[in-house]
Amino acid sequence: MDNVDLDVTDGRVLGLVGESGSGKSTIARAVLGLAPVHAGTITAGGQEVRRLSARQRARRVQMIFQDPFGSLNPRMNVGGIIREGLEALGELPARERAAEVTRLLELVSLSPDLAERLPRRLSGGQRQRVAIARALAARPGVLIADEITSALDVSVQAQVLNVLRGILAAERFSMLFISHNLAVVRYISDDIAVMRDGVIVETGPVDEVLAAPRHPYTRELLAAIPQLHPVT
Amino acid sequence: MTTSTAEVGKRPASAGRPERGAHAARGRKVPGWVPDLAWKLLRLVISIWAVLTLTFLMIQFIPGDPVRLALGPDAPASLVEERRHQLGLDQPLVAQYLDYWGRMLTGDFGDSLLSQQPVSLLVEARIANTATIVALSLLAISVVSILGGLLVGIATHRGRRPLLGTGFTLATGIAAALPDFLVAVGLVFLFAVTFTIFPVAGASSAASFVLPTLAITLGSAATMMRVVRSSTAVVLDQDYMLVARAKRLPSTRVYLRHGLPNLLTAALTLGGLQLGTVVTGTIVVENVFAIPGLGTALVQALTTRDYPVVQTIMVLLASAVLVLNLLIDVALGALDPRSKRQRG
Amino acid sequence: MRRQLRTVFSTVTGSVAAVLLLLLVLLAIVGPIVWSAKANAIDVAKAWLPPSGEHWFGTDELGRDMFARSLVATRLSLLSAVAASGIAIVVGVPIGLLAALFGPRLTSAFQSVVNVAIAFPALLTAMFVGTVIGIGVPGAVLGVGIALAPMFARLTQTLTASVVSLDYVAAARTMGVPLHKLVGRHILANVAEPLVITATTSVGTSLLGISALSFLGLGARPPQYDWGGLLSTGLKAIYTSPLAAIGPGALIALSGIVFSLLGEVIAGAFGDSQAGRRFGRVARAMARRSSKATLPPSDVLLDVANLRVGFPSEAGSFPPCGVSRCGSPPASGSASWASPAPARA
Repeated sequence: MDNVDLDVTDGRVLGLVGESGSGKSTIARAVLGLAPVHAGTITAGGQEVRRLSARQRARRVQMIFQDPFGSLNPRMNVGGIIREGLEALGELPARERAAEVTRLLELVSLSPDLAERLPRRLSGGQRQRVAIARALAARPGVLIADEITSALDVSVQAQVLNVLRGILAAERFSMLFISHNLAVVRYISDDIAVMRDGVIVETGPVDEVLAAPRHPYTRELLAAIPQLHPVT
Repeated sequence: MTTSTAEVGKRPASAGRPERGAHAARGRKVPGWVPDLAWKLLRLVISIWAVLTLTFLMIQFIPGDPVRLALGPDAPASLVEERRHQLGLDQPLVAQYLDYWGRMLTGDFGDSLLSQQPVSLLVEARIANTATIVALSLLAISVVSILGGLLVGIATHRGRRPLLGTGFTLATGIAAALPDFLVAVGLVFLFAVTFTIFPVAGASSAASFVLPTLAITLGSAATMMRVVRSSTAVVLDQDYMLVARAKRLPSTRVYLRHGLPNLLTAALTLGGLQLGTVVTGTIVVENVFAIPGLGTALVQALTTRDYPVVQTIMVLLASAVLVLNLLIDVALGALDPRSKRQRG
Repeated sequence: MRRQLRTVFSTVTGSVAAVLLLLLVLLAIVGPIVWSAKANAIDVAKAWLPPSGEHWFGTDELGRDMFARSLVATRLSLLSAVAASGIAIVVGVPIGLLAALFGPRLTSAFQSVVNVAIAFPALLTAMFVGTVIGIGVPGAVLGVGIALAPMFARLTQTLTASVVSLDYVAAARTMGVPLHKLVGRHILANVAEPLVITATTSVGTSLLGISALSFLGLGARPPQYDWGGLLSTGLKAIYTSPLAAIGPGALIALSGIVFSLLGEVIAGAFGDSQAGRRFGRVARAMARRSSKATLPPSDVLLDVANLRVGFPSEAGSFPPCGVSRCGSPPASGSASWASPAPARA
């Protein structure tokens, strides 16, 4: 992968779309320091991400993972998992922490009673919402959502996306939304970037790009969701 | 919700076993048998280097004056000084190390601190007994575990003869749990007190090796027999076996054709797995049955702090294990191309 | 944990093993208090007596009661076994963790070393350590502990490697969770069960190893004595009073069996319960990851198109999706991919 240039602008959602293996997840992991970067810069809030301490980076960038069955520690209860996100903010008094956990659970439309539960007693959709709450707990400037719906069933996907959209309307933060599914990306994003073989082939506001795709690959992607053609 | 979680858990983990993946990855890195063999040889050399270095450093690690410890507080200072010189302990460390290498490689193991006899004489006198016990035990373990495991595996396949199955599991379980020194003591008791067929001490005749071999074999053979039995069951459930039986081929022919080709491979693998156990087994068993071998010499030298003897025997036994392991590894690689993938 | 305990006791072997362990521990506590005087009473006139009503296992060369000595020796035998296992864990687990956490190069170097170390005869390692620090209980305990450490190192490395690549560890890293919490909360907590099982069995292994050393005269030395030492004393009198050897020998065998049974039973209990299910799920998550990687990349979207034609645009607020779930053909050998997770939430 080379020459990938992505800008997640303030308060907007950038959808990154492309086929499996095109390097979308590698970008996400590189931003978070989970994958090595050989050249180039990754900045968040004007600072080179790799120069930041783990804690500082946690405040700037957070991630929601694809697989809610693998991204929650089976040994920790929901409250503990979300509190771990809060720890990135520094020391909070215990009472404030409990209140914040409750607020976050409500934010993702989960009952605060779930805080005592272990992940194994949650459904896939509930787990993914816990993962969202955990990421939001660190109050990141940028949230990265890496294929967050692809491990979920269709009806549950809608739920999770609607929760995310509701939060985007209520709280101001930027998001990099990665998916191979154009329909999902289009539903949630303001801007879109199309990636193929490690190269960004097209980028722009979502409506413009989808209304008049310039790159053949984008057109190919669009054609893959035929039932949406009449709408555009 | 609970039921769905249970359903998730019951699904067998077909893929993603970490072991398998690691092996596959390693296999890809070193393809073909030439680099494979070279890598194994390199590992052997490094291992033997480590053994030699550690046994050399053993004396240096000992807190205080090792010679004084060995000779006791009553020994005259002049004698201690003489032995220190004899061991080369008054030389600089590097010189000692190089000298040690030179001596070990040329087979000059130095003189015993106690008897003042060359250690090589002691080794010459005793190595045959130890080698006999090791060889007999490895042979017995392979033969007994493969034949026994195969027969019981066939006989109890798919829950047939449940009594035999349970008895087998129980008997091998107990035998595997018994350490060699207990088995040896039990055998001494049986054959010294009740039956007096085999001699229980010394190495005067061929019969002297029966009980020591038995003592080492019992536990290892029991463990391995279990392994063979369960893999027999797996093989019997393979499609080609089902087909063969569906064609009503005579059962002995089926078992022989599909069972025997794997016999040698299985024997080698099992023997290799038990090498360490067998070698330490001889140390113990020689002491119980008072057989003049390397094991008795080692224990005696350890209690009397006769360092040159300890070093020599440790190096010999360790190298034997390492070299035999390599030989088995190579033989397996040659016999069965599949095993190359699974062993790194 | 309580549920696991109940499972342990619900099986016959489990109950037997637990009761025997309890007896052994009790004996280790009260043995030296009750029988010490009798065990140490020297009466040379009564040396090497055969078993009798007064001396169940007979007497040793100084006329001391072998039965009382066997009971008293329980404490030293068990304590040294537990100590040796403790050393093996304390040495082995951190090494395994380091090897798994810090890079593939360290891992492969570690694997070559550990594979040799494991193939190396444990008794020789123990003897080596015993020679260096001197023959006695500390030497035997340290020797056996170090000899068993590679086993724990390899187990920890394998287990950690299987957990460390999971997303929740990655998630914790992105949270900036410090290393000690990462290891404790996210890694060790999730690999603890196999380690506990191995630790239990390793107490039995240690006990046998230390007994062997003492039996050879390379462990406990007078005035200390453990079962291994008593066994070698008894062997000297095997012609006149076999019970002097069989008694301590039986205790060694029994303890060895108790710990290995206990390990098996605990493993069974973990397997039955939620822990086993969790392990299954971890494996499934990994299977899913690997199956994702093996999907033919360029076919995915095309296949969706084929499958999705005519699918009604039903969802009011949200267009249908689920490409990867229903659209792509199952890659080779990916059972979990082909069968979608049950709909929940």
